[in-house]
Amino acid sequence: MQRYLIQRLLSLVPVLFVVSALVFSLVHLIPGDPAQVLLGFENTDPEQLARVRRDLGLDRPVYVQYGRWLAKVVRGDLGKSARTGRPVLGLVREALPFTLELATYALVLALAIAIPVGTLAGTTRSRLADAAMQLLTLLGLSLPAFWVGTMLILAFSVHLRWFPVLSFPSFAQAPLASLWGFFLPALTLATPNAAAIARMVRASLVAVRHEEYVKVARAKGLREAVVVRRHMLKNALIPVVTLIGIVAGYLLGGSIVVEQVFAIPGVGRMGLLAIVQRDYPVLQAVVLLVTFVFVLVNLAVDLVYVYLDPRIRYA
Amino acid sequence: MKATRVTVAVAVLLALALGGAQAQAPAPQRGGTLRVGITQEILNLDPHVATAFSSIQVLDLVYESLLRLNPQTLELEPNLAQSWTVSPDGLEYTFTLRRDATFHDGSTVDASDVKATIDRILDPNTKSPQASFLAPVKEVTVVNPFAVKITLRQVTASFLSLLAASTRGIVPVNFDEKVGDPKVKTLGSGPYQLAEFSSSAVRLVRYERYWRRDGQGGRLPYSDGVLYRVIPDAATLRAALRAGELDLIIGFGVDITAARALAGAPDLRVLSVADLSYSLLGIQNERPPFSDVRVRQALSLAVDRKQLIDVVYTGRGTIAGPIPPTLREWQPLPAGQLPHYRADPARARELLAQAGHPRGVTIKMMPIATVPDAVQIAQVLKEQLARAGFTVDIEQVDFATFLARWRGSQFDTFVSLNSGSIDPDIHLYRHIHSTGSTNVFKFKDANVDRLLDQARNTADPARRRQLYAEAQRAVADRVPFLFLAYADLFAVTRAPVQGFVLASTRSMTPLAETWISR
Repeated sequence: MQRYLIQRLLSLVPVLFVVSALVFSLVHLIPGDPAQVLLGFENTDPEQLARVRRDLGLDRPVYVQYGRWLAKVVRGDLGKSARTGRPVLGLVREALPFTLELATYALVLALAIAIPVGTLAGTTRSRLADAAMQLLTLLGLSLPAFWVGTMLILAFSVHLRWFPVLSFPSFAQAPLASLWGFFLPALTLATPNAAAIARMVRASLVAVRHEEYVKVARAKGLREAVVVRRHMLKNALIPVVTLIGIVAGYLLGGSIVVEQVFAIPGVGRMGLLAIVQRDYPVLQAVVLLVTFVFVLVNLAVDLVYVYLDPRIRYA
Repeated sequence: MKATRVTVAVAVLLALALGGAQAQAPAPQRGGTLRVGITQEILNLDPHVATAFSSIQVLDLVYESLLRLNPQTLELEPNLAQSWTVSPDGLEYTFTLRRDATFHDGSTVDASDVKATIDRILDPNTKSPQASFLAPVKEVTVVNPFAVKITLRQVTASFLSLLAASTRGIVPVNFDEKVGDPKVKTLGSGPYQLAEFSSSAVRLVRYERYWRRDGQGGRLPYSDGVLYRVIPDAATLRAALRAGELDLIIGFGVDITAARALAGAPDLRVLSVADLSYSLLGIQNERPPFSDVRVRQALSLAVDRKQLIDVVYTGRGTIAGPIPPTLREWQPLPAGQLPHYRADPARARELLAQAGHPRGVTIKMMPIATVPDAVQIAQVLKEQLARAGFTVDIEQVDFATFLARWRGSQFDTFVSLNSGSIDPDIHLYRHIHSTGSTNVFKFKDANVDRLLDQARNTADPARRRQLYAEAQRAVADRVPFLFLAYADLFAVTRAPVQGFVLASTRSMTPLAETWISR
C-alpha cells in the first residue's frame, strides 16, 4: 500500500513536467505577449517594446525561457507576474482559498443532491417519477453555468434578498457567513455535476437491481431501505466514485465561469486573466496547481475503492 | 503673461430616471464609504506606468497633477500649481505651487518633487508610457522651493493639458525608495490614500490633511473611504447595485444596455454624458486596396453613421468627426460639412470602380474583444459595406492577439475605441501624424502633417482654431481611418448618492465631493 502511494506520488513529477512544458510551448505559439499587453495602446515604440521584452526575458528562445522557469520552480520560486510584477506565489496564496472552498462546497452540494435523487430514480417503480428525474438531470446538465448563476443572483439576491451578491468571507474566519455567501456560486457549480452523478447513481442502481445478492437480501426479509443502502448502494457507488475523480476536474474548470459570474477572485479567474493577458508565469502556476490537485484527487479516489470493494488491493 | 486657457465645453448631465422634482441642494453629509463597482481588474498603481482604465480610476483619487480639468466644464484649473506664467516665446512655463499641499506621509509638496516626477517619467528605466507625452520637455529647474520652471524644446500648445492627469501625478523625491513597491503601494497628495490593495478590491481612506475645500470652505473629501470592487460580469455588476451592495457603477460594462435595464428603478439614478472617446474603423493605409485613397473614401461613403448609432447605441451618440462635439471651443465641424460623410453607397461603388475594383473587394475586419460594442459595430458595418461592394470577413481574435496585430499594423481594418482628449493636438496628432506614436494606420499625408505640426507649435488659440478647421476637412478627405461615433457614457448610482459628476474624460476626481445622504 505504502509503496503504491509513493509510486503514485512519484509519477506526479513527470506528469507535471510534461503538462508544464506543453502549456509553455502552446502559449508561446499564439500571437501576443505580456510585453505588448503591458504597453497597451499608449504607443508603438519598438525600442520600448524591446526593453520590456528584455526585462521579462522574452527575448530568449522559448526553451531557454522554459529552462530558466523550471530551474526557479524546482527551488520553490514561481517567479513574478509579468503583468503586475507581484510574486506569483503570493497571488496564488490569495486566490487559492476561494477556489478550494468553492469547489469543495460544490462537491458536497452535488453529492447531497445527486445521491438521494439518483437513488430515488434508480429504485422507484414509478415510471413517471423516473422520467421526471431523468428530465430534471438532463436540464441540470444542459443549462449553462453563466445563465444559472445570473438567474440565481436575480432571484435570490436582487428580488428575495436572501443571499448577498459580493460577500465571500473565508471559512476559517466566519464559517457561517462563508457558507452563506458561497451558497449560490457553489450551487451553480454543483448543478451540472450533481446531474451527472445522479444519472450515474441511477444507472448503477438499475444495473445491480437484479443481481443475485440483492435477491438474496430481499429473500432474507430485509427491509427495502436496508437492501438499498447496505447491498445495492455500496456496490453501485464504485463507478460513481470514479466519476467523482473526473468531476473534480470539472469543478476546477467550471470554477472559471462561476468565479467570473460571481466576481470571486479565485484561481479560475486568475487563470483566465493570465491567458487573456499572456501572463506566462501566472498561467504556468495555475496550470501546475490544477494538474497537481487533479492528480491528488484521483489518487484519493483510487484509495477509496479499497474501502468500498475489499476485493481491490494495491500491491 | 496670462496663462493660456483651454476653455469650455459643457458636459451635459442627464438624469434618465429621476423620480419627482429635486428639492434645493441639501448640505453635504460627511462619513460613510462609497462602494464603486467596475468590471476591469485593477492591475498596477504606479501612476507613471499604469495604463488600464481601472488603475487610473484609483489613481485619480490618490495622486494629483499640477493642473486639473474641471470635470463639468473641461476647463483647466489650478491644482498643485496655484498659478503659472508662460514666457513670450512660449518655451518656458513657470509654475507657482501651493504651500499647503502635503503627501500622505506628511511632507510638503515642493518644486523638487515636481522635477523628480518629470525626471522619473522621462527616465527610460521607468518604462513609462507617459514619456512620449512629455517628450517636448527639455529641462526642469527648481526656481525656489515653491516655484518650478519647465523649458520646452519647441512650442507645444497642448502642454498645459498634458499636465492635467493623474498619470502625470506628482510624486515625492526618491519616490521608489520611499514607497517600496509603487505597483501595489502609493504615496501621493490626493484626497484619499490607499488602505488595501488586491486585484479584485481596492480600499481607500480619507487623507485628513488634504488641502482642497468645497465651495463653502468645508473640508474634502466628504466620505470616509472609497471601496472599488471588481465585478467582471456586467449582469452581476447591475445586480449588485440593485441589491444595494454598491453605490455607483461606472466604466466598461455600464453601457446603453445597463442604462436601459436600470432606467426607471425608483432607487437608482442613471447619469450620462457625451464621451470624448470614439469608436473607429482602423484602416491599414499601406495595404492594397486601401493604399488608394479612393478606396478609403469609398469606405467612408459606404458607412451610414447615423444608422450605426441608432442600431448599436439606440441613438445615444453623435456622429464622429475628427474633433469631439463636446470641445466647442475648437469648433468641431458637423458631419454635414465634412467630405465623404454622407452615406452614399452608389458613389462609393463608383469610386471603387475607378480605383480598379468594379466587382468590389473582400476585406478583413477585426473587432477588439474588450469593447462589448465592437462586434456589433462590425456586424452593422459588414452589412452597410456590402451595399457598396465591400465583402467583409469578420475575424474575432482575443485581446492579446489584437494588440499584437495592432502594434504591428497587421490588419486590413479593425473596430476599436480610441481614447480622446480635451486638446485637439493630443486628440489627433498621435494617431494621424506620420510620426505619431500610435499611427498604426501607416497614414502619411504631407498636408495633414503640416497642419498638425503648425497647430501644435502655435500658441495663439485663434490661429490654432483656423488650422484645426482646415485639418478636420483634410483628415476627413484623406481618410486615415473612419471616425464612427462618440457614444454616450453612462454611470448609475443609488439615489442617496449625491454630488457625483460623470465627466466626459471618465475622471473619478468628483468622488472627493460625493456623499451619501442618510
